[in-house]
Parts: sequence; structure tokens; C-alpha cells
Amino acid sequence: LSGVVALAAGGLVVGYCLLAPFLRKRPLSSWPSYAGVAFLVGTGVTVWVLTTLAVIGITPTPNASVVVAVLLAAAGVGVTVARPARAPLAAHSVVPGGNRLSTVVVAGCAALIAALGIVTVLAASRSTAWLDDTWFQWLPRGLMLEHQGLDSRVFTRVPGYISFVDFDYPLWWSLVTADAFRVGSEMHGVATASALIVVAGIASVARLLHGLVRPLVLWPGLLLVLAAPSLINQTQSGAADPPLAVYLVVALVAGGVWVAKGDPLVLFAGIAAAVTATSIKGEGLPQLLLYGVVLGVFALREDRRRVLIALTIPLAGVLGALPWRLWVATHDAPGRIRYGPAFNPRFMLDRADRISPAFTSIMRHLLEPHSWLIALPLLLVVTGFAAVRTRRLVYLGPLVAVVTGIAFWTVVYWAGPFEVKIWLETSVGRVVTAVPLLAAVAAPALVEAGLRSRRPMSASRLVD
Amino acid sequence: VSDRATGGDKESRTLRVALGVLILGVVAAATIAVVHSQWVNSRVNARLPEYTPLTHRFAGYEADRHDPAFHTQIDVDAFRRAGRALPPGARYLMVVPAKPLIYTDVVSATRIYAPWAIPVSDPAKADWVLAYDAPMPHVGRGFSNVRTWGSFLYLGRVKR
Repeated sequence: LSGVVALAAGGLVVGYCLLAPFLRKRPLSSWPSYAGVAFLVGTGVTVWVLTTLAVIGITPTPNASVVVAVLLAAAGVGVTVARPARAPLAAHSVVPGGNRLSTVVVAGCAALIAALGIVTVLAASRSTAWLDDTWFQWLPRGLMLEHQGLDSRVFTRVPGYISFVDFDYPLWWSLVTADAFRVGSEMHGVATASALIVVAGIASVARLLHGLVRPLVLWPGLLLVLAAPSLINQTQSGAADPPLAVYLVVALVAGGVWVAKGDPLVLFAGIAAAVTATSIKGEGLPQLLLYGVVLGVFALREDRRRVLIALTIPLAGVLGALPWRLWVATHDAPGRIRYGPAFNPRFMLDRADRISPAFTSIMRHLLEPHSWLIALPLLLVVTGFAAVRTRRLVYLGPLVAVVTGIAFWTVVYWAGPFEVKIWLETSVGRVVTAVPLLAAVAAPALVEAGLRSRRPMSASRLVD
Repeated sequence: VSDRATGGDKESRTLRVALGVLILGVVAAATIAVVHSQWVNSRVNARLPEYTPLTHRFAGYEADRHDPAFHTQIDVDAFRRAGRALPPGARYLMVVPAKPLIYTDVVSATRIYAPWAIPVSDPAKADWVLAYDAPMPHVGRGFSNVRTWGSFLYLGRVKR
């Protein structure tokens, strides 16, 4: 555990340095609350730079990791020193003060989240990653990448050599698992890294929504997210799906918060999360684009200028994925799952019998209380509540994004190359993770919107 | 009135902090009980079986081994030690019995524990041969030395 915690501390420091230009005019007492964001940003950007270096031929050895981390940290500090200090962000967002009952609920939920977070990380540190993809693909790719760079004999199809099965798997999660494996206790380290990212994701969402959603709504909502059995179980899988879901959701939440608050730190965090999300798994990019565009369209009647600026988040995702996509395209290293056939009507009609099992299986998993508690039904109810009370289109966005996510995964299974029943059995429980996670983190914001429309805000206080 | 209001605010704030600390203490005590007490842990387990990934890691339950959870019972420690014997850049041929899943496990184990070496499928390209639960094949002009780890793992350098 100590090795992975030290590694995480490195990511945290880099993240704080990168956030420093935005943080320096905020009260020092608010800095610790940015730890989750800093950890995700620092780890995400550092490893993304390493994967990009690998693409241009520089082996991402542990020494290279240290050099990149130091350079990024120095860049953050340098910008902080060089840039003229701006006035602190005006606090426009207000949440009403609570009573004793709210104190009990908020303290109880926050304490339970802290306890669950600690226990989740400790449990992961005693678990071996259970998903075979972890030790068959992600981990060996990362270890071989650290030792040999992107050797085409290993990472593409060259006669006479044994290559990996899925050539197009991006490198981000492979490098993280390799580092965690080396400094942690082998597979225990891999599971611990996954758990830390999930817990940091919850902390990030808490920080991003702080000041926009009253604590009485926010903390119980976040407890529902972290207590989802499927999420806890997946932290011990070693799969790339939980990190992907966390970075995707943080990018989307950051986009929404940027539109609401206009805080440049949040926009920067969203961009960093988007760049990372599209470097974790191939499905990161289409999901980010789909959800980003849906939420953007529904938000267009809000502050249009901010909405347009928020589109830099999915755009950053595209640019982040570009180096690896170019390498794959130029090295004849195609993946087994392709999206092209989904646009061929004849092909899709011929296999229409796959729609029903795919859709049924996805919905069964999403609605199963022992997997995601009440994330989806709750989203449905609170969307109705917010839409009716506010009569604003923007609050339909999260529900439509979730429906889009369900449609996306149905199409993937419909068009995909594998026998659908076995494929669903072995993957649906994890690949759709971003969908319920998005539903669960959107719910508190929708409740707040509905409550606010009933009673205008009175007493104001600083966001930080 | 102002003074009284300020005093009331202070009192209310102190009460809230006290409540918060009390709740934090109760949750911390409950968490420690679940993690350390088998009695509490088993009751939580019985009531909330979906949380066994958490409860089954503490209070008398042993931690998983830190090896990969391979499909078959391969000797992971043998691969760990054999990996150290392969030099950086070595190209090795794997010989594995034609049994389902063992091939995947052996390929993964060698990649994980000898990531500095390159697996090949063409015997002509191999500098080394690694045989698991299988006889050493005829490659090149034989082997300069054959080492063994455990009962099943053999590694030999190909003579050319």
C-alpha cells in the first residue's frame, strides 16, 4: 500500500502545481478540498504525456516518469509565478444554511463516505485484480512498454512474433497498472490504484459541486454513488473501466460547473480529465463526444459563450486521443471492435436479433439495485422534479445523455464482432459504468435546481 | 439583540460541531468494528452480502495472494525466477501443452515477469526456449544450458 500511496502522492503534488495558477488567489483553507481534483489532474496529465512520448519513440521508463512529473510541476509553478495575479473568482453561487437536522445528515453522510473510501482502498490493497484482461493485456503491455518502448514486434502484428490481441488498446491504464505493480505489492498495487482513482473521483465531484448544491442534497447523493456495490466490486477488478468512467464523469461535471460558475480552474480540470479519459480506452472518445454534445445542446439556452467554451473539453479529448490513434493507423494495428459497421444499415439489419439481448442485459444491470442501487430510477424522478419546477430544457440534458449512453452500448453490442451472449456476460457489468455514474452524480444537481426554483436564495456566502 | 443573536449563533455552531464530531466518532467506531471484529463483520456480511468484496478482506479473512489470478494453477514463483534469468532483449519461444487456458496463462506470466524479453512464435527467431509442462523441442543445435524452476518450467539458451 505504501508504494502506491507514494506514487499517488507524486500525482497529487504534480496536480497541485498544475492547479496552482488558479488556486493561488483562493483561501489556503480551501486547498485541501481540491485534493481529489489535483490527484486526478496530476496523474492523468503526467501519464498522458508519457504515453505521447512513447508514441514518438521515447521509452516511458520510471526515470522518464520522474522527469516528466518534475517538468510538469515546474511548468505549473512557473506559470503561477510569471502570470499576473487575478482577482479571486466572485462567488455568485449560493446555498442556504442548514439546521441541526441537516448537520446530522451531512455529517453522517460525509463520515460514511470517508469511512467507505478508506475501507475501499484498504480492501483493494488486499485484493488481487480479478479481471483476466488486467494480467493478459493491460499490465503486460505497460510493463513491456516501460522496458522496450513501443516495439512494433510486440505492439503490432509482425510474423514470427507473439503480439498482444487488442492492438488498439490505449496506453494510459497500462502504464498506471505497470507503475502500481512495481511499487505496490504486485497485483495488490493494481487494485489499489483503481480504488484510489475511484475515491478521488468522488472527492472531485464533491469539490466541483460544492457551492452549487446544498450539502444536505450533495452528500447523500455522493454516498449513493460510492456505496454502489458494482462500483466497489470493480475497484478490485484491475479493469480500465472504473478509471475511464471516473475521468469521463469528472470531465462532464466540470463542463457543467464551468457553465454555471465560469471558474477557469474547473475548465482546466475538465480539459485534463477529458484528455485522460480518451487515453484510457477506445470507447472513451465516442462516449465523451456523445455526452458532451448532448449536454452542450441542452445547455445552449444558458450562457451561450460559456457553453461554447465548454466544448473545448470534448475537443481536448479528441486532441488527447490523437497521438495514439495516429500511431495505430500508421502501424496497421487495428482493434477488434470497430464502429464502422454500425453505419452500414444492411449489416445491422442482418443481425437485428442482437438488439434485444443487448438492451435487456444493459437495462437489467443498470436497474439492478444490488449493482447501482437506485441511480437510474432516481435520475428519472429528479429530472421530472427539476424540469417541472424550473421549466428549463437544460435539466433534461443528463437524462438524455444517459439514454444516449444506453443506446451507444446497445449499438456496440449489436454491431460488435463477438458472440453476443458470452460477450454480454463477460463485459456488460463493467463497460457501461460511466452511464450509471453520470446518472448518480447528476441527481444532486437536479434536486438542487428543483429546490431553488421554489425558493429564491437569500443569505449568500463565499463558495470557498 | 445583536449580542444575543451572536451568542446564539456561537452556541448553535458549537452544537453543530459537537454533533459532527459525535457522528464522525460513531461512524469511525463502526468502521473499526467491521474491520477488526469477526462477530460484527459476519453480521454485516449476512445483512449486506453485496458488500462482501469489502467485508471479506478484513476481520479474519486472509488477503488474496499478490500474484495474478491466473485461470490455471501455474507456478507463478517459478516464472518470477525464470524471468530474472532472461537477459534484456532476449527472444524466447514458449512451449506449452495444448490445453485450454494454460497457453494464455503462460504467455501472460512470461510477459509480466520478463517484460524486457520478446516472445516469438518462429523457432528460427528464438535465442531461448521456455518450456512449461512440456519437453524441450529441437531448436537450432540444442541448448547451451538448461535450467529448471519448480517441477514444470525449463529454460534453455539455443545454440546456433
